[in-house]
Amino acid sequence: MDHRYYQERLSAFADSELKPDEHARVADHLDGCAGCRRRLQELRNLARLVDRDSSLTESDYWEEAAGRTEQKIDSAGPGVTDVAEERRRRKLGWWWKVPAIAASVLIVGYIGLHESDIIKDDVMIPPAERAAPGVHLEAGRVGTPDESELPLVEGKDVDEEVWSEPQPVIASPTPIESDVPLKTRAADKDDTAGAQMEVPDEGQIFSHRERPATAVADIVPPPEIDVADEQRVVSGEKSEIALKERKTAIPAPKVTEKQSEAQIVDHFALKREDYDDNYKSGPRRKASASLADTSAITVQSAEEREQVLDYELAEVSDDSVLDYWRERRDSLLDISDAREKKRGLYKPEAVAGYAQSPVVGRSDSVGARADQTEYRLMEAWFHICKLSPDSIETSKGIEFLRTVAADKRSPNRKEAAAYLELIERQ
Amino acid sequence: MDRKIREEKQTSAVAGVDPKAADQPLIEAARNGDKEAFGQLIRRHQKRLFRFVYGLTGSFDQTEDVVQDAFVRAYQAIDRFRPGAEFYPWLSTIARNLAFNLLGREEKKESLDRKHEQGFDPPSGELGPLEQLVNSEGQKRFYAALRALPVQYRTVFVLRHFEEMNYDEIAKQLKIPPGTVDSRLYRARQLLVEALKDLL
Repeated sequence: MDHRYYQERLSAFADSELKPDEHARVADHLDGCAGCRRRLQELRNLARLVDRDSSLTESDYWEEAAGRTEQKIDSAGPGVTDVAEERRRRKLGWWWKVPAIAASVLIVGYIGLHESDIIKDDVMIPPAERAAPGVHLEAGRVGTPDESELPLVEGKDVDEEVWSEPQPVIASPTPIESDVPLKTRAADKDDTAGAQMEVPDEGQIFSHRERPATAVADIVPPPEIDVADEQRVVSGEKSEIALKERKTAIPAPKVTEKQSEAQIVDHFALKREDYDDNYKSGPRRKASASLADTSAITVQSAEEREQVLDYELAEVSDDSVLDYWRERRDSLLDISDAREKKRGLYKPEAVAGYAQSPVVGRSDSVGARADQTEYRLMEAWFHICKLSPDSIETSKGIEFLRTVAADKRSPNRKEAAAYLELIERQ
Repeated sequence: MDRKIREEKQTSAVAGVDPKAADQPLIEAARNGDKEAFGQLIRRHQKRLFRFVYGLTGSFDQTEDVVQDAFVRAYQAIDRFRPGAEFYPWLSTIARNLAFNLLGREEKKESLDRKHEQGFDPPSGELGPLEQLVNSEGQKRFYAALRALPVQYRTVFVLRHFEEMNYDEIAKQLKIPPGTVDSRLYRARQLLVEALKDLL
């Protein structure tokens, strides 16, 4: 058993968050490892330090703060109060309000002065027609066709309904989920006492209600990678595709000096897409989803969500990419562990505590899914090895790849060897 | 259980009375419009809430705003509070959501500036207004180190150590896998151990 397996579990061990068999394994290891015992003691000392030094001292500040809060309660109305938001709004000042008021006055004034020209018989005349005062409109018609637009239909009177129906007004657009601030929904979910968050005022909701429903439909959040998703992906048709793929596998490219790294990575990208159609543009997409789609932030409107995504897609840092691959790796390990334990085939001592190939062999559908998971894990480890400055972490990834490369039963061994070659080139 | 939280519960409670039970008459009075009773609830819980929110935001000003806002909202919704339930978990849920809203606006800037792992910035020791609330060198060093953590690590650390949430609860709150909670907590602790080694 790799020593790092135990080191990485010391934190969860200290929190008693390991499963019973894992906990027992780590406890056995601690009996014989002074280094790990020392690390565990550091974690416990840290917990004691937090207990001791995180407390805030008694001070006049607290009474003053309580007083300010009470004043705020007194002055707050029944509606929503957001102190931070009010402060931000106050900072904006009047710079935008004066021009807006002036523009409103001008528009109203213009309409008032030219009312007779603009509106006739309660129907608004399009600008092009205002120069032709002789045009008569049927009541209820919205504008009138320009002569040049009349279809050349012999014998038809131009007043007949040869025009397409006016565009229907979307009276009540499809309710958009993001109309309701997420903080309300999040509070409803997490509220242990059953109380609800405030109902937001109309003014707090961004004015996107006029947006057609298709605008929301275009914004499809990328799928989050979790156990349920992976299981859906790998079950059914995908496992059959994977079986077929293994039989007619795309051969791994020969790694030569002439071949560029990009070509090799592209090859793997093609194979990856064959395995997993849900895989989108990888790290960037996941990085952008990490804020906009988690409860870490509240997105008030589809427009704001787009802004968040655009911002992150434009400026994803290496750290965000590295985090993406780490999270992907962790998710895959969880999936693999769960699968193997369910089958009773978990053998952590084989490869540094990571997922193992089923003992029964790889020809069954479960074996195919394990191969897919192994392939994705290799990919995640490869990127982590490229990006991570942590030598312990990279050596762990290299060890995993070597294990796969040495496993004659694995259909991924050639790719593992190619990954190792690329890493060694760095 | 976090020892400090246990002590706070003991000191805030009437002698021989369960702290949760001690809140109930105040909650009932507040539901009937007694603002003074709610004021007592503020004084009982604000310090603990402030510590938690500061751990999330790392900013004194933002923490003040969030704590104040949380109490205001709690008062406005007090008539919907289920009698018999614990007050602080409900209050901290409100504050947590407000803090996450705030973090979401700020994290866009932070994600480009933060160094992770070996790039972790050494704590500067500059706590600003928080200095008035921390006396000892240990407290200052701790909060400086905590504030210097990347927000993703700090969030998990604070939810675990200050709010006593287990991995599953943290995972559900942050919508991340429990394995990611483990790895982030592990890294947060590694970084803090490194920064505070001489104090351990």
